[in-house]
Amino acid sequence: MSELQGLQSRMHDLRAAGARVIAISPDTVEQNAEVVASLGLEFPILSDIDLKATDAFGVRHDEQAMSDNVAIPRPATYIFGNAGTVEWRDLTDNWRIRPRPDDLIAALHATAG
Amino acid sequence: MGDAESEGRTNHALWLGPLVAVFGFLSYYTIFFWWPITRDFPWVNLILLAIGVTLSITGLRRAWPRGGWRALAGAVGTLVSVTVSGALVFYVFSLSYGLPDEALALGVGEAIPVVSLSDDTGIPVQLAAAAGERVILVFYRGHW
Repeated sequence: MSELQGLQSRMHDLRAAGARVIAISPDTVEQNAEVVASLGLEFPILSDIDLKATDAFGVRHDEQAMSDNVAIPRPATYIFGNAGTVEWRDLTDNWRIRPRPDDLIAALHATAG
Repeated sequence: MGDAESEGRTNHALWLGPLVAVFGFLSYYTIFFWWPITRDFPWVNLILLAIGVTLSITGLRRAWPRGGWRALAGAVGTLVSVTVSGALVFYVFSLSYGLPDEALALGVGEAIPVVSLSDDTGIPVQLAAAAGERVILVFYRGHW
């Protein structure tokens, strides 16, 4: 959760760098709506309940199935533009560690133009 | 002779050690996980665990010579402290590296898949950026 809060806290800087944030979770629309409301997020969380985006990106993490045996994605962050190709990605080698907003802002600048 | 307890002092380390160690374990997941600075490398928790184990061993060494329930409590307390320390170290430095092969995931230069998903208000959203805009797409693991 803190990852999304971290992004929200730097919304202004991310927008200034020309970026929009979209989060994807394996939860339902209702669960995502709760998270958006409780954290006051100004970006959407898309519901990937059947993991079609997770599988299309190849980021399914089967080994970490939840108690109810629903697979989840590995933590992954992608940056892309109007060309529709991946410009930057961070897959992290450790599920505890996610890119920080500063890393993303640096990546936006590094891949710009 | 000159022994802590025969002078009427209590062996606080005996119970304080395991208490600090258990707090050092649980607080990673309940408190320090929330900030990258204390999550990515769990230095606060490692310090707490080191203090907990040191106190436990100190308490055990004081209690051991006289035997009885204090010696037993010291042994159990030290075992608890060492176990929770080992568990956190294993989680942080081994278990959490268990992720699939990166080669399976979409790489730089590859096309963003055409996928439409419902946002948190139920409206379908296409994964696409407008001209001059870039999208930061974050897969996160949900409420579990």
